[in-house]
Amino acid sequence: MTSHNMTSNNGLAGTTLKINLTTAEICKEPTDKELFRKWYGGRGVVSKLLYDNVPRDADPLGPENWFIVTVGVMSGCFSPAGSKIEFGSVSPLTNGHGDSNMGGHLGPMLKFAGYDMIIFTGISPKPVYLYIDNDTVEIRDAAEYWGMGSLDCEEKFKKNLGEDFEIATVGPSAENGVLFSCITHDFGRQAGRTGQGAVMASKKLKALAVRGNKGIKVHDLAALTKRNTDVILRTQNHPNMEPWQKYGTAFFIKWSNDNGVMPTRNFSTTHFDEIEKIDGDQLVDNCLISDKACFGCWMNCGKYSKAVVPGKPEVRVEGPEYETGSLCGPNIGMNDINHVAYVNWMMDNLGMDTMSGGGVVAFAMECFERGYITEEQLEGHTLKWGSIDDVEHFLDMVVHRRGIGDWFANGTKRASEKIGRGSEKFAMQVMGQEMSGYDGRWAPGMLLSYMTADIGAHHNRSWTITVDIAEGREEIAGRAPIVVYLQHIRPLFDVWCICRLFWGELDITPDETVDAFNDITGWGVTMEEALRTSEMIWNLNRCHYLERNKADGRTFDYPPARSWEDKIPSGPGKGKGVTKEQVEQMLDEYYAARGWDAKGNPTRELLEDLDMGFALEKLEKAGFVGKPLDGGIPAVRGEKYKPKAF
Amino acid sequence: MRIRVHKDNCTGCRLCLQICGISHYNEINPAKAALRIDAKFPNPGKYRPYVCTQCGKCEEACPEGAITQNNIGAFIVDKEKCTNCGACVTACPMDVVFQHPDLDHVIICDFCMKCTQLCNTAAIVEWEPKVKAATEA
Repeated sequence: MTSHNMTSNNGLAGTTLKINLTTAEICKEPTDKELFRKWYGGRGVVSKLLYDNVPRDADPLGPENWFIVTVGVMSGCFSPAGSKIEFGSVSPLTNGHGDSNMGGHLGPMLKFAGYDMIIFTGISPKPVYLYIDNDTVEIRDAAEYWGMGSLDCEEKFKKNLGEDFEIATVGPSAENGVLFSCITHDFGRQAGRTGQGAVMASKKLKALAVRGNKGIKVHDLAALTKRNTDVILRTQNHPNMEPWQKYGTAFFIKWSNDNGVMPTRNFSTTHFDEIEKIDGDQLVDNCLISDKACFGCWMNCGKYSKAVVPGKPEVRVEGPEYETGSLCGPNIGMNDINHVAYVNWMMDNLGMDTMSGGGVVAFAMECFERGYITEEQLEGHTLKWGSIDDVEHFLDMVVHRRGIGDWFANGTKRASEKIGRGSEKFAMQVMGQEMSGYDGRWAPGMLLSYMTADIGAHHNRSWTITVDIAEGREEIAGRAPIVVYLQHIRPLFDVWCICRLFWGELDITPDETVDAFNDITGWGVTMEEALRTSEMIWNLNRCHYLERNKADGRTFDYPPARSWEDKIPSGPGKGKGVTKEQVEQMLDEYYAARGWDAKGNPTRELLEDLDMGFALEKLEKAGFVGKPLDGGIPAVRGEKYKPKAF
Repeated sequence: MRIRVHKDNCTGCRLCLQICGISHYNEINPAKAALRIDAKFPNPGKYRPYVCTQCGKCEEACPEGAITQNNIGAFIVDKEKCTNCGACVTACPMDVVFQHPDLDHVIICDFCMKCTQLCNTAAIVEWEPKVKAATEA
């Protein structure tokens, strides 16, 4: 580890804002460089601050929860796709550490205005938004914006303040406390997962509006400039560039279906017969208006689209990207790309995560099909697979928490508790967070990733699906250490606050990214140290979860029973599936690979090895330190796997 | 030497703005770039780059004689002579003469072409008028 280079600002803007929304007090402080040095920024700093500062019994939607907005050191700098902004708070959906990030331009703009982080506490007595124009920071009245759709609201802010402001908003979904509400920016970028929008709105904070024109000082600008210029020039003609620019992530719709992992009709099967009506080609041919890139990215995967549905207004939306396209496509039986795009727009403008939203609608549709919820409960409407009118009405009930809409506004897990009748078997979530757009029954590594992700059933912590396909899809043994490795390396991008898509697609290695990180910070970090930091973050979030939820970790790590009770009934994966014993085996292997005990709790030896005495002490008080392992913890947790995709 | 704009190709990534600020002011700051990108969303839902067209209105407007055209066609600002009065900013029909609070002179494109090198969608491309047909093809 090298010492800090005091002549640069290590890529940081230099100032942190602490804002108490109850008292409207705004405090500007120098950014805590030691904190950023140790936890690298982004997701790392968020994890540490939430762990240290939010009382374990605090209501996630109450005044004691912190709502953190931070940029990390690489975002805004001339680094590969350095565009991200990270939001963090204790999640109302999972009741554990929550964080979610998005690209676009807001993160860099916050840094150009001079800020690395904003920490919100308290609850404003009335709706407000935060206005930042360089050194001017004001809490402003948001009465005229409250109640507006996320996208409509952004348009109005741009009109009122100027096109050069970058805006983040929440929608009516968040205002009404729908637990899977998102934060929206740039007319289609979302921090979607863990209900960060619900927390933001619980503080009566409708929006952030930011403009800045300051420069960022980095450790070695010449080296950074050369490195990133070389990377861009080297990859401009990469064979994956053209399909990526053409389709974005929608490329994977057909791929996923062909490989028998497409969630279809609430994960009942993994193959959609009408995929050619909603795939990437349909998106490009029927909906595309323009290609959109995040700040500093030369891959432009964003597809700005229009949705034309007879009898409804023509609307514009960014997407549908893969996750939305699958979970609001086959998973709810949509067989028309314009309808998928329209559902995408509805959820975006209402301000709900399209992933959880798609999961919730799909779960409700299956409940309706089974007669567990009735037309009477749906105010005289049906809720049939593929019906856009039914979805529109159902979402209106959810967003306004009307009737049984109130159950579903709390996500599939809580809704299934209300509905009963064994519906938890097909409430497709882990820890309260709805599954991403891959069925894990014929992709056991992916299933294990959902089971063990620190924020519930989310794909991006370890996108193991390509490992499954490459290494053998019925193979269970040996998957766990790879999942652990991916859970360390992939979240590093969320720590750095840059995109990770260029990694797999353009063969730009994480090692090169560490080099760029060092150009910016001068901290001389090695990949080994970076992975260790990521492991610390992972374990810290686990401790946080155990301390809040007061039960052994293993009790939270099971997928819904559909994952092992039902074999895949159709398509390329017909007859495939895992058994309950295999699920248990994967958990055993996973805990062993992590240095956790069989109950899924981190051991003393591990936390000491990671220099996390501060967490050990709290975990011990809570009574969830794992039992010592026979033979001790593995010297290295996780097993390096050369990813074949991002 | 000029820059040709294919406006529909722009994806709004701002790599051009970043490299421009870095190349000329040694700092990461898109607000010190010599070109700009308009983002119009949700309607029409497109980006559009604006660059210097070498029309010479800035030179005409300058009361100090601080702006002169060089041999590649760029209008170069004499930082000693420039008083930052803003006459050229007003005169520029494309709004691509810029001022920044850190600087005591205006910013005008010098056609170093760092931006066109990085543009991955050919939204801005290097262009010699005499080989116009070839570039368009």
